[in-house]
Amino acid sequence: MKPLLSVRDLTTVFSLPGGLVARPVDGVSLDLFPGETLALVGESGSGKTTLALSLLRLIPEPPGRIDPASRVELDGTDVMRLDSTALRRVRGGGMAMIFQEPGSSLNPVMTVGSQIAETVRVHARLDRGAARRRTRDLLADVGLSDPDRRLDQYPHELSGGMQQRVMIAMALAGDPRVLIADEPTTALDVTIQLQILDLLTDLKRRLGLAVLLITHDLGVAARVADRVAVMYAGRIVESAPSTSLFDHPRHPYTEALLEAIPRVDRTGDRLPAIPGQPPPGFPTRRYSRLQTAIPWRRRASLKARVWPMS
Amino acid sequence: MTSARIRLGLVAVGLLYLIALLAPALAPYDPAAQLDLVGGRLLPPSLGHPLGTDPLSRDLLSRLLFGARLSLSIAALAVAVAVTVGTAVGLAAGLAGGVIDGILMRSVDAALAIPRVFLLIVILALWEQGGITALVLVLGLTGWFGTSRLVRAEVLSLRRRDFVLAAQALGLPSWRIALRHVLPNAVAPIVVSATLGVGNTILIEAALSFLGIGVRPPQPSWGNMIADGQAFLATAPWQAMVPGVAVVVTVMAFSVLGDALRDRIDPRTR
Repeated sequence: MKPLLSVRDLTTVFSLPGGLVARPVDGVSLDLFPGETLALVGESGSGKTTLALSLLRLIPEPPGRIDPASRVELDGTDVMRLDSTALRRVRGGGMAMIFQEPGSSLNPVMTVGSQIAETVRVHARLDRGAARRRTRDLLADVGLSDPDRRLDQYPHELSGGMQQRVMIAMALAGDPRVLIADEPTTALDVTIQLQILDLLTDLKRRLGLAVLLITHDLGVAARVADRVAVMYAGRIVESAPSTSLFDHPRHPYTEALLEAIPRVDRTGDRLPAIPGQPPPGFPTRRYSRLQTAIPWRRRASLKARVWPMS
Repeated sequence: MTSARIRLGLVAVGLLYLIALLAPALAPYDPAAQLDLVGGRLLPPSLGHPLGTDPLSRDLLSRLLFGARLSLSIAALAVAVAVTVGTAVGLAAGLAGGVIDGILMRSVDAALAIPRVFLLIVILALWEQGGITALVLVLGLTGWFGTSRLVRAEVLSLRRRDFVLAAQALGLPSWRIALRHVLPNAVAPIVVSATLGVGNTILIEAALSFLGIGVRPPQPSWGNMIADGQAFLATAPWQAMVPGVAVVVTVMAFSVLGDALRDRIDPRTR
């Protein structure tokens, strides 16, 4: 089967003060097939969100820059080489994205209905009435109760879970084929988390979406993902079907991540934490690619050296 | 407390505009009519002339009412011009960033370095035939610098907000993001600055009219009424005091309203 989204050697570079260069995304390649959920897992700072923003070319330039050799093909078209009009059509129409904080991702001074209808009309030639009907259907699709009333409510009148449903409806407004969900459940209660995850799975099945789910929560990944890619320090270190990844992790970093999950059957012990943080800003001018590929085990001791103060 | 002040300000401002609107109905005389140049000059308040008459025997109350009409409309129109230009410039600078932002904001800095009243006096002295239109335009076009900075600052913080990123991620065109997502969220500080701006503009207009280059006689304005009355401060003090009090009350009303709105809107001053 041909992948819907095919990413090859995606590299995003940020220029830092003092002539240093950071590569939060460093040569990532991945494939996303229609109807599957790929979970991108990794700890904070591993480059997950930057990767997602790079796919839609939403990196602020400057200071950021996507390496010109990167290729992001959506159904055969290279997103990196589109002009701004075509790019706008891909954003929301080909790939749509939802964010972590549903509360701040919605415009506080616009009603839910007019916000979604706006996106609908940007992607489809519909008159006001038709757009409103489509908006109502979208709200019903994402399982919001009483969609007719929701149309004229403002985001602050809704709960976090409802706001995230609205955000998902908005993302679906342009009929995208790929949905990028960046930590969609992190800001929500556990019970609501499950509902949103089930909604994403349900939508994926019904609409044949390909979902790229970004999360730091392995439990979330295990619940909904068909495949899991583990990201560390801007690279994908392991990628496998979720069943085999959780049962037989092959990369020591993956193993360490799995070890660090609290378990009810193992109380009392300290959790085996991974020391330190991913080394920031690498490879830098002074620290070569080789040095940045430090085994995760040694990174705590290396952290002090990796970050030359300018 | 804040809502009480907002209500007070709104009522006062509303009353002032109501009076200005109804001036032709409320005024007992034609404000320009010289009623009795021989025996009717500088009359003290009486039943026939509740505020007396001025040095040219015109009814002071009528002049005060028509003066309100002129002062309030000039200020409102000038501020409308200033807010429109300032918002457009601030929005453009904040969203464009880079070189455009630099050029616009350095120009604003340069313009702010010129004392406004000096600028106004020079332009109005040179543009004598302009009349009220010139006054509105000049007041408006010299009054937008502060607003543009305010709007730019607001836009700079709004453009980093998640909902702007979300709108970009969903493919909305940038002009639509600017006008429908960024601007409406910046309205509150614009309203506050406009309200305070109206009071300030009334004060400046009065000063210009006092100097004889704002509203010119025979049209009544509070500024030129004070100028007319100042020669008689010893013998007929109400001549200058009546329009003076009118200016103070009006500016106060706008200040109370503007301050209260700011306190309500800006959580940092709470």
